[in-house]
Amino acid sequence: MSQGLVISDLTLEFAHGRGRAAAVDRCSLMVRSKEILGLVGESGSGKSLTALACLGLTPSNCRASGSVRVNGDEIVGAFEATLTNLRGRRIAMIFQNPMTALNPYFTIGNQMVGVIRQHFPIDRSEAKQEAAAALKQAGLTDVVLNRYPHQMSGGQLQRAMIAMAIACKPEVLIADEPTTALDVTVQARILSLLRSLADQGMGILLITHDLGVVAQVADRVAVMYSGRIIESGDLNQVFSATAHPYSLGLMEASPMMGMGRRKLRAIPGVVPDFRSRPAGCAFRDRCAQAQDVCALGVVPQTEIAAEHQVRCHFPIRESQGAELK
Amino acid sequence: MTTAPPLKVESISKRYHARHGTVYALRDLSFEIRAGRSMSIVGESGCGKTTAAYCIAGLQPVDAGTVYLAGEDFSGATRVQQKRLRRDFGIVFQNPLSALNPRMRIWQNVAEPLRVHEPNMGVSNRKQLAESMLKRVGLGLQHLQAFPGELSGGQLQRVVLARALILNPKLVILDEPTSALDVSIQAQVLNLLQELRDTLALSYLFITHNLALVEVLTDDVMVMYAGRVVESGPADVVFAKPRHPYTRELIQSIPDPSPGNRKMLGLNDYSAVQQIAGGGCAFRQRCSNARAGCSEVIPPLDFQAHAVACLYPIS
Amino acid sequence: MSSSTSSRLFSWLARYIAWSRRNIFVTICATGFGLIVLMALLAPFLGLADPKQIDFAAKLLRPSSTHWFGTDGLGRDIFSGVVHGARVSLLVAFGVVFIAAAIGIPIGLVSGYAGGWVDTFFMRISDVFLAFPPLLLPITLSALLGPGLFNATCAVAISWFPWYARLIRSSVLTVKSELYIQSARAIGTNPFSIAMHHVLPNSLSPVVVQASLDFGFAILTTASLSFIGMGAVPPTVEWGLMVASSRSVFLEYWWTAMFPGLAIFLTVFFANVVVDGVRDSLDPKLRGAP
Repeated sequence: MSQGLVISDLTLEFAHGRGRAAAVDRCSLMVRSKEILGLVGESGSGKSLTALACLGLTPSNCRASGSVRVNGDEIVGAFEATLTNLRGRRIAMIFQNPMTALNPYFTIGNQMVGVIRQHFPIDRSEAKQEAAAALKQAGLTDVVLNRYPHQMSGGQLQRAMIAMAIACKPEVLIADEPTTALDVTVQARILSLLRSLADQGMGILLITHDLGVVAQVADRVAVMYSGRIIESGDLNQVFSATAHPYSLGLMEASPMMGMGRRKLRAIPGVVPDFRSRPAGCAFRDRCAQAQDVCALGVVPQTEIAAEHQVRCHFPIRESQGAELK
Repeated sequence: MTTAPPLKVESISKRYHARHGTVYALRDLSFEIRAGRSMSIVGESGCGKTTAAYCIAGLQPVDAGTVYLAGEDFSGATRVQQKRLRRDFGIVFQNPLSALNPRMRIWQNVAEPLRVHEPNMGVSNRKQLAESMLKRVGLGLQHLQAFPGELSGGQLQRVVLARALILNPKLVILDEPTSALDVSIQAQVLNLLQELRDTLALSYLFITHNLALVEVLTDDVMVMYAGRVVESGPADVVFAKPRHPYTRELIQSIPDPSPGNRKMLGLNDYSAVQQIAGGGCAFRQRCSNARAGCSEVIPPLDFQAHAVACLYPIS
Repeated sequence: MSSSTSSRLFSWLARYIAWSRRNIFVTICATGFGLIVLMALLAPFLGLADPKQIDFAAKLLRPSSTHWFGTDGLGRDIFSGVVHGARVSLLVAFGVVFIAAAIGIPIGLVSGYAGGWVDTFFMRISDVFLAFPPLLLPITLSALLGPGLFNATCAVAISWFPWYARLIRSSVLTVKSELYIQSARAIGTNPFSIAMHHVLPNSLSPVVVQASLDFGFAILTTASLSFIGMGAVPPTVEWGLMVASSRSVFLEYWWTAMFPGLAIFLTVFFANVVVDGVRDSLDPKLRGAP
């Protein structure tokens, strides 16, 4: 049984005019095999940077500390040679825009065979077979092997990218907003595919801003705000007994079918830039229940239920939650 | 005395020539938005909704049919005649940063319609009007002199909205106004749109791919597929009891943010919305309901309050 | 001055100083360039010897306390020549760039905005100009127009305008597809107004960068033209001409070529470094929050 992806106290710092600031601040996450962890956040939350850190792909001006282990192998601070062996083979990533993430000059088959042969000492025809198998798993036929990216639709390209990512059978797959650029009917099918991949043994870190996507396919969820994980736990727990004011705000701001003309409950204000984050809880300027203690120091993580952690001095209790909803 | 509806579209079509023949981005689109009501056009990429918005806004010429603004022929008018009618509508695009001139200050961007339509109005008057409009959309005066690059997405979209409303039009065309914004900002902008619609008695033509937003802003909805309307009617009725298989598939695909309600769909992927060869219903290849007659004739939109273009609609 | 304007100026100054600290090399070169410009402006008032004054008795003197850069083959003071030459060189360089841009920008703007056969027409004409090797066209035109600095300026400008036309045309093509142009059309702005208010201001920045870079090249080109006898004619004081007239003697009397040559080199070098260094701040899209 693989240990999957274990992120401990990951901190990603950037230098700026007035010193250093952490875009990702002491994040800890775990993705076990056969499970999908949904990482939810808006722009400025640091979720995409976290994803890049898992493959050692953060920009050169970013200083990483903490630990990211893929099946026991450490990523933070590893040599480039080690990382090259791990990428694709143990951990793979798919991106938001499939059109720009694939090389337009080479066929899908060509790109896939290239990746496979980098990790396995097999010849081209064998690699082609592996590629075809991966394509089939992703719901595509081997006709795609000879297609160029521009000849395919958005949904097909995303499947091709998934096929390329799973071709070497990695233990962990990171999907960064994989369906944001796709139509909703196509999105549903891609999410199904991800679910089936997880059921077959993969651990998937699904990054998204869409709560609906998380609700449909994830087993566990973590909510990120301004570089910190502010709530995490079992999906049903977090959704039904939402404890952090920001998570609750996100849920109430998400439009749902059948809501009629009800006014959406917007969260006032904007996400602070990580360089000018207020001391203490980063959300306090926008929080209806903020008090003086929220401005002091790091907010500790409390376990308010089994499989449910929150980083808040005043987590919303179940009874309150019902009133606020 | 009856006032003409803010917008009436009669059988507009837009075609372009591709290698394999003529492709219709838009085919015989007809609808009307009455005063005080709003309409959404929904569909996925390639369905023609954005083309419809651009044709209605006079940014692309129509190949057939007519667009009437406040009762007057807009699409057939000359550029000069069109200019006069352009006062009657405002337009908000998807990407707020791209929709503003990066070298003009915020107030100048907002006052641009005044500069074009009221040349005799002095600079200070224009600036004053721009100020009051920006306040109306919830932006502080400190942003007046800023450049677009200094503001966030949500703030920029408010600026675009202020510009669209500064001439007091009755119709606002909104082309995916919140798709590029974060969820919490989207909620703020949608609330603002709701409030302005009510206080200024506006009519919206709302283009979106997100069905969940339809009922927030509009009363009626039209579902488009491959350039044609496949279903239309009051939004609550259409979503509660969809009659067209595509509408049903759309509704079912929307990820519901309640974990207790999981729906899984099959693994098969279909190619994107496209024109398919031969006559008949464009949706038939994806339709679970398709029968022999579907490939022969293009189903017409029946003339009911809740209309559908399907030979075998879901009852 | 209102308080908001003065506080804006102050913050601008503060940012400028902070930026200068981070880019020492650029700042040094900018100061150097500034000094050269200052020198050119103040030349007649510095109480120097007349650079055109011929004095055979004092010819080919080494650099000394009376003649800081020595004298040339006709006894003219070289230091004074370099200082006065700065006026000519800078004026000519500015003139070349200005004329080339003044011709190229309207052509490129119309070409890019109108498209169609207008675009094809102008671009094919530009292609003809661009097909010539870089120095050949200015030389040919100069020969046609006759000697003289003004003719040389025109010759270079006419050879260079197609670059500006192309640059602004490609900029215009990108800007044309931006949403704010569609917004302007939706509002009812007429095409000329769109071109002037929206397209042109947003297409200019690559041209500005190119113009600044060309400044240095213009000095070099006019100096080269003078060197081969096409540009400045005596008694005009111009750096290229000074180098040219030292041709026969500079091996023994190094200062006759060295100082004017150094002046050319330093001016071009400083100009290029400064442009490179400020190129990023010329782009308004990067004008976000600090």
